[in-house]
This record gives sequence, structure tokens and C-alpha cells, in this order.
Amino acid sequence: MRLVGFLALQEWEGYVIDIRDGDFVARLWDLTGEARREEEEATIPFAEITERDRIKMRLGSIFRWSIGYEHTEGGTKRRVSQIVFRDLPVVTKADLDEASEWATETLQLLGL
Amino acid sequence: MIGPGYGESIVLHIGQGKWIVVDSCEDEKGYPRPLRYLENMRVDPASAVALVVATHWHDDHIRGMGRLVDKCRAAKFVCANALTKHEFLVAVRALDDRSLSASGSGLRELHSVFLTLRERQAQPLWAIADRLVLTEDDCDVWSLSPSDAVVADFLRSICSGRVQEGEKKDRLPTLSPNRMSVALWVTVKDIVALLGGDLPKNEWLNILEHCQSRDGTASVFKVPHHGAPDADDPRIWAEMLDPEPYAVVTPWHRGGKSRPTGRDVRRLLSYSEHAYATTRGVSIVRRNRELQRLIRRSTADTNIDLRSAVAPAGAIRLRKAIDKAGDWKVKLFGGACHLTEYLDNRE
Repeated sequence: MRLVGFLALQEWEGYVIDIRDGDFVARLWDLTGEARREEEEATIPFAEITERDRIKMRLGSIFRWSIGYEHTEGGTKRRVSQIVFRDLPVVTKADLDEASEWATETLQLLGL
Repeated sequence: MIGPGYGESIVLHIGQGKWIVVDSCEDEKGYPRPLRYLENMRVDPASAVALVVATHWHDDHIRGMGRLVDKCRAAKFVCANALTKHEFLVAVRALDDRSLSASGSGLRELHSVFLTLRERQAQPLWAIADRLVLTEDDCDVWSLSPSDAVVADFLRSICSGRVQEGEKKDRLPTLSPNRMSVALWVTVKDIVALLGGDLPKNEWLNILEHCQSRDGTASVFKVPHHGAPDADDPRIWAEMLDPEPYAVVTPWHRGGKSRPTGRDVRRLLSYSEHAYATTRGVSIVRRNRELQRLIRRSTADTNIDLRSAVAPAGAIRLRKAIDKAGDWKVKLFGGACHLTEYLDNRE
């Protein structure tokens, strides 16, 4: 049956604080509840993420965890939990040049 | 002393309408708790706060620091000097990208502090062992740490581990180690408070052996590192503190671990019966019933252990008249409790 969409009812953003045998621990921000701080933590089995994400995961990696319903063309719905790691941009030479200039200027302005 | 279960801050009145703020944490709306406390007391942070100290750059000590420094316009800002090494600032700037993540990072707070200081052209003061960082009327504030050796070691580690081209802009887990933590010796006339940051045991022994700035003993102690034994030593209690000092520990929950443990509590209570925790227990995250049911079913299916990571907000107020003899008057707010109750709550 063809999927027609996924409706997320609860979403968190998480970052990894511990990687262990078989699972990892993350701090979570409730995006749905618009939390202003991380109020929850989760221990998540590796079975819940892709092999690619597991290999690339490191402390500080950021992901989105969504819980909701997947709808099919035939009108059925299925409860789904989905964890997707963000492929974050890398630091570029331009970033480093700008940062170095900013750092030098800051130290000068502060008389350091 | 304020502790929302993850994070801590200390607000000290030093007499003559002047205040000191050590570290920052946020309330559930993301507002710095020390600012909220001062504003509730009808104190204007812009003119009344003489000193803001960032003991070290860990998440549980610096949330809201950017806004705190911005509001406390007349305050000197104190942190460990290694945090202004060029390589460190490059990392702060290069890795701070507000579009990346809702969760942000401690780097964002540090970046924000430096933007404010830049704008004011206000030079921070460096905390180092045996340095007088504030003299205000009857109050002296000394930093007891970090030591020269620790700072040199940290600077070497920054240089070797500096941010590289091609590195991912992940959230940096740790910016500065506990050994870089700033411990403070605060005196107001003959009243002394020892504020321990998260300083580990070896550095306390270093202070005991080498620091010259301490005179007398302290009657108030902010227990370092959430009561962990790796930040404690009997010599601290015997040589730096009054008998039975007023000791305050700020509980911590992270990665499924909590401090203080039952053993920590019993150890602290063996040193002083005047021992308190800024909070206890764990808060429940409130959601509507339907959503709660969906989450419960989904986590059961996936074997994900989802748990609250914050405790109810709490604070402990210790008051004593500057020129009068007598004990401290203790008042507990919110989730704060005597340590014996914390033990009851855990076991």
C-alpha cells in the first residue's frame, strides 16, 4: 500500500551525550512543546537508527526524533517512531578565516 | 543558591546594595534565574551587580550567562583566562551557528558574552589562584583557582585540539574541564563563604598547600561538583571551613546518573548537620493525555527509555547580619530541602 504521508505529533531535538554497547543516551528538547531547555533524556537502542547513523554517531551529534502516524493511500494509519540524524555542515576555510579575524579583533578590543 | 535540577547559580548580597552573581541557569521559560531573583527583590541588576563570575564553561553553570552579562552592565566579568586564548575564541566563533540546532551549546553563551564585552570594550578579569578579583566596601573576593599549571595544561590541549577545516559543526560536549573551575573565597567583614565550583580533589589539595589568600575559615560552603567524592577531601572541611558549616549541594541528573548519591549525602552529613540540597526528586513533563499515551506506546514498542531530566526548581536563602553575632537563618524555597530529606527521598 502506497504511503501518502507522515504526521508527526511529537518531536524532539536530541544530542548524544553517551555511546554504549547497544544503545546511546541523549538529552532532548521538546520541539512540539516549545521547551526552552532540555527537560528529558532518552536511552535509545541502536536498533532504532540506521547503520549509517550508528557508524557516524559521536558525542554531540544532533538528531530529530519524531513520533506520529504514517498514512497509506488505502486509509490505514500506523504508529511510527523515527530518528533521523542531521548531516551538519562542516567548518570551511572561510569560517576559520572569519573566526580568526573575529578572535584577533576581540582580543584587541578587550585590550588583551 | 539556586538550582533547577540541572544547573546552578549563586546570588550574594555583599552589603551596601551591591551583589555578586556566580554562574547562571535558566527557568522553564529560558530566563536567567539569577536575574529573576534580583528583579523579584526589586534590585536593578544593571547598577547593583558588581561582579559576575563564570566558574567554568559547563552547560549546568552557564545557561543564560550571555543575557546575565548583558543586563549587569556595571559588573566586572570574571572567568578563567584560558578562555580568551586565540585558538579558543576561533573555535567559539567558527562552531557557533545559530541556524544549526534548537539546543544550541555553551559556545553560544560564550560567544554572546564576548559580543557584549566587545561592545562595551570591557576587559574580563582573569581568575587564577590567589587573585583578588573584587574589593567593594567591606567585601573581598579572591579566586583560589585555577592554578598556573592547570591553565598551562589547558592551553596546550586547546592548541593541539583546535577546530579544523572539514570538522562537523556538531554540538561540542565539553568546553572546559572541571579542573579549570574557579573556586572563590568571599569575605564580608568577618563572614566568609567558600564557593567550590566543580573543582576536583587534586586542585583542592593544591589550594590547601599553596594558596596564601585565605585567612580564617568559612561558615558557608557551596559543595563542589554536586557532592561527588572526586571533588571532596576531609582537609577541606578541617582546614578551610568552620566546624558544622552551612553546606549547600546542587543536585545533578544527566545520562541516567544522579548526584549526590545516598553515599554522598551520608558523607556530607557526617561533616555538617547544616547541609542542604537546592532541589530533590524529578519533575514530570506535562503533556495532554492523548500525546502522553502515544509516547508511552511508542517507547514501549521501541524499548526507548524516556525520562525527565529536570528536578523541581528550588533555592536556599542564607541570611546573616553583617555586624551581628549569631547563626545563619535558613529559608528553603521550592524543591530545596535539608539533606536528610534528600536521602529520604532517594532511598
